[in-house]
Amino acid sequence: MTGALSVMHERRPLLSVRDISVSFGGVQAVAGASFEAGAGRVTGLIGPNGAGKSTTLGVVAGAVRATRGTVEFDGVDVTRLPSFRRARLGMIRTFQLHGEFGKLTVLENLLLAAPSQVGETVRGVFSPRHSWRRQERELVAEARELLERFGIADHESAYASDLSGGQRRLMELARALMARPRLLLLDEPMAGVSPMMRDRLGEHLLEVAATGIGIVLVEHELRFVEQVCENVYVLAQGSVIGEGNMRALREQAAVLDAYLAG
Amino acid sequence: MSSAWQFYIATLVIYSFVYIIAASGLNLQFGVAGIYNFAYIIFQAAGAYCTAVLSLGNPHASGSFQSYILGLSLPFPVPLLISAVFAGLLGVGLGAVTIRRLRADYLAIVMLVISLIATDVVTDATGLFNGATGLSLVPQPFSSLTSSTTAYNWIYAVYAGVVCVIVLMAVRTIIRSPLGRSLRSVRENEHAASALGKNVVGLRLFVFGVGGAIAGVSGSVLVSFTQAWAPSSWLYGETFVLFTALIVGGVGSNLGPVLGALLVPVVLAEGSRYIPQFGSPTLVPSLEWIVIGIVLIAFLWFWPRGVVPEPKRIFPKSWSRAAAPATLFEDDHAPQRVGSR
Amino acid sequence: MQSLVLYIGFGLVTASILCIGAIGFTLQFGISNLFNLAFGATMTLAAFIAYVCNAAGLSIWVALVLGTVAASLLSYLLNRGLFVPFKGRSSNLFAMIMVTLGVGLVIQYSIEGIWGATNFSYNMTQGSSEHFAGMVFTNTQLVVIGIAVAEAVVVHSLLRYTKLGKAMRAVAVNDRLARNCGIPVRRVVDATWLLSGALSGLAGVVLVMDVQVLNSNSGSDFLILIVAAAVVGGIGSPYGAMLGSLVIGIVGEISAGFVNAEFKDIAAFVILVAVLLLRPTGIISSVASAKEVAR
Repeated sequence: MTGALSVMHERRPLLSVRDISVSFGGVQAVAGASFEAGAGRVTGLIGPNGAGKSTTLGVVAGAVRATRGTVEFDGVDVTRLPSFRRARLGMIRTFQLHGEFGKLTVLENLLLAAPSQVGETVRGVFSPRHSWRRQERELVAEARELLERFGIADHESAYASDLSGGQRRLMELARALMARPRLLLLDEPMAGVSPMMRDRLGEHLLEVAATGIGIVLVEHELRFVEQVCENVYVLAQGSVIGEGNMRALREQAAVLDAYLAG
Repeated sequence: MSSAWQFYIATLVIYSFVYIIAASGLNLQFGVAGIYNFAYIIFQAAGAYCTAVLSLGNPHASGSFQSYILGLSLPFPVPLLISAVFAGLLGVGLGAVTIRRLRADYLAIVMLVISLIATDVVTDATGLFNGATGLSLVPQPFSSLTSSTTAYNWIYAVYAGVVCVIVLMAVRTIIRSPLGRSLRSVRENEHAASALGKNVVGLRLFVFGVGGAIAGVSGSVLVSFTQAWAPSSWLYGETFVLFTALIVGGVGSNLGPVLGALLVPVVLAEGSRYIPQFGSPTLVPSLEWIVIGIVLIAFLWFWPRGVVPEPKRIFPKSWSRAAAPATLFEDDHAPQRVGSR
Repeated sequence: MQSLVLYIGFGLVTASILCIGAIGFTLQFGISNLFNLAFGATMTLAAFIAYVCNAAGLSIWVALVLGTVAASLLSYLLNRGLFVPFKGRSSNLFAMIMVTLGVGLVIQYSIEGIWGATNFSYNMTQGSSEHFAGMVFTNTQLVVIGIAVAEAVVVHSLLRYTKLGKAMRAVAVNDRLARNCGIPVRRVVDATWLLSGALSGLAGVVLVMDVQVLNSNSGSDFLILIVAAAVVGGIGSPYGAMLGSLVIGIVGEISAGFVNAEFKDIAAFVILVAVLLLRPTGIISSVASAKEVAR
């Protein structure tokens, strides 16, 4: 490898997860999983049900405590950091289920995500110069643009709990982008979304990545994974049993065995 | 209007303001942040006791028949301000309990028990606040302005009203701000809130502190008027009455606690005065509680959000960018619409 | 040392009354996932029904049975008529607690409205005092302990050896799974409320027999100790309730003896809060963990 390529390979990955283990009660949910995700790329995490994908994502996000292992984000060891601090560093996750704020409107869901809001501090709230209103106007405009892009602008004033499953997925994606992420952790973002939309969203994710954001994607829809992910890790029974791009993986026997559903 | 009537009306007005203040504080904790603080009344008690022992004179003075701590004869408005801070700090201390993640109803029971412990401790430790007998002869602020009790009541009503308006404005400011939105997000889904960078524990402690301070203010205003305060003034049933007031008036809105405070403690409690006595002497006061219980259950069934529920936030159409942005779904394969509202 | 043993004796009596109530309370939580704070009110009602029968000339033991039956029926009706419909509406646990509190208030103050706020007592004798190994009991207290032990044995046999009992355990841990296994969940729930309601009535009457004072607050004052016993022992587990009752009853009486009478309650509360914060699922945590009371 020469020049530029070798520099790229030496650059530190945005996310480095090493040797994560998680056990609940007597069950070993994750057993020594390791993977990396780079800025500007989409990395996939696939595997059969119960393989520990969501749990691993939870560990990365800080929602699940690992019994062993480390998580490094842009060179910073965040293993001990609570999830809200990781989010403030730019690590933003979506949820497979129940990720929405039900009794807040769709627009409010997005506004919440914006970081560094003046109006969220006590001083900012009571300051007589109403500076938070100015920021709020801009955030509303930005959020409306995002909603428009994802095609759910008409629902901006609907309660999030009134949306259909697919619409909620789109809202969560828009919300995650609103949070100015540096790393996106997406937990089955395409569940309940129609195939046509999936293709569009896949392209959009690639555009988002191209702006320098790293994306980790947990997904079941393998065609989607193939379309979007540069690098894919296969999880089974709590550890990584394969890595590479989808085409190469399809040929590895071990992967085929573990993954009966195509 | 006769002097007796004026006296009564002014007193009613003062009690109304006190209840509105108390309900607003609980609204911030329960309505906005979703915290089931079943120990809320102890913060009102903290404010009342604090104001009492700061305004009263030395407990060891000759002729004194009450035993209590402090007794600094501080002039108005010092006791009010210190009480607010004290109750607020107590609130933050209690809020630490929620760090232990318990199921909602389990947590409510923890709070209820803490409330009972507080009552028992204060009743037993007679040196603190004069035990079960409680404190009396608490000095009234600005009593030198007039010697007529009727006039004084009106003056006090103005004072209570000013405090009430300040509290309502402060709470309204918080509710409508992005901070209020963060609090609501913690109520709706604390995991998602955390995942978006909200410090859930910090936000809860904040709400405990502010709600506690507001409760303390209500206690201070009340005790400086009634001049007496004992454990019987703050049994856990009072917290229940405030929750009912919120559930009836409206949870999470600005107007809800005002309406609820007027409807439940004031109308129900005071209204029963006008029902002619019938049956045994305890029948009518018992009826009050029976009606409160039935009203609560009826509202929880038919109108759980209350008369004035939390309004939906709509933002001005003008807050948009000029150019129409590109959508991902150009050719009208827009996501299915849910039934419009 | 002598006083310690004496207080332990008092503790056994309190623990017995607690045991009857705590098992009932915990069964209701287990089967319906609900903290029924109206439990104290049903206790009071049973005690008053027993009082009326007793004052009309019936023996206290007959009155006991009548009070128990009344509480059993009332509890069954409350569940079918109120708790089940509310649960079906939404899964808001806090609203459920408020509903039970509301019902409790209505019952308690109806009692106060009818009979007034004075104290009453039963027409009965406490019997002579017996001495056992440094502890002192009246005859009545010995009977109370006997009733508690008998009741614990009956509940244990029911849960362990009968089809109904096993069905109750299954529904408590996972009602959907139980339904899929063909268990008639609705009937099991009804049976549990009849049984636990009977226990609340029994506890109410027996309580008044021991403390010899009855008023409209009797049940609700005692309820918090019952909750403490059930939670400390492990909410949802009847065996936990038995253990918790011993802990709360004995520790409470020892505190009351060595410090002062009010400390009985404070000691119980402090233990309860400590358990809720440090090990919320209690001593026997199986059902509590299944219901995820703490995360």
